[in-house]
Amino acid sequence: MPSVSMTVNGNSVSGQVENRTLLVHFLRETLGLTGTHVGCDTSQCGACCVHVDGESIKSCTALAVQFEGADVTTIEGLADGDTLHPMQNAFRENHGLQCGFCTPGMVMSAIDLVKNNADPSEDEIRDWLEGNICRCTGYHNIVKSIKAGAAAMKS
Amino acid sequence: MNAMDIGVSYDTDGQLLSGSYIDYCISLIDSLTSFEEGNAVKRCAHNNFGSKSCGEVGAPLVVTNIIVDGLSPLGVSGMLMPAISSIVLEAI
Repeated sequence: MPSVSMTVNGNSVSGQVENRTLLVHFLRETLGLTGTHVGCDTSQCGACCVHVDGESIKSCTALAVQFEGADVTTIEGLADGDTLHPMQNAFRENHGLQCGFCTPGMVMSAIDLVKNNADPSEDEIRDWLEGNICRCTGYHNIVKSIKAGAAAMKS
Repeated sequence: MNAMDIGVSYDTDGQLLSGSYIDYCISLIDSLTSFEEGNAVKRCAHNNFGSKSCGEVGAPLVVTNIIVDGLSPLGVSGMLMPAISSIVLEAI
């Protein structure tokens, strides 16, 4: 089995993986970072979104071995100790989650949006998140959360 | 959402035809626009307490009423759910 080394949430990690091992399974099963979820396994629902070298990707359709040397951030890597990332806090404050299954992906995707667009409009948020599905259909508050999170990330 | 996307239908044997994600329409973030929230509190008229049972979800009715209201200049006074294009066209 090939080995793969990368930086995950600031820590150097490595592991033996099968060629077919997906990045999400490397994160969840090898590293025990189960905050990244597998919803659909077919790159539709976005629950598996993580950042690779600063850009959001769906980790359920990426092979772990593709990311040798990459810098990966998962939902676990956002908070600073007990202090939540502003986007996480905005979801909390605005009731941007119900069951919470889609939330890690929503938050990771939203942060990438705000990196590209510091003050996104509601339409731009909805357009960006077309690849993230919330089965509770809590989109209304998710959009509100991201507006608030974007404002908090500025300050 | 029941009001917009998902038609709950059964065959003649009572088998649910929209029970899996293959034939079940999931709402996406652009299915609805943003809206203002409000509460309209109304007691149930059918018991002394005015209480309602579980599962009396009002949101699909509200959404359908909004659509009917928007179509009222065209003479629409009621419509079946979900508001897929064929049903809306028939109502008009």
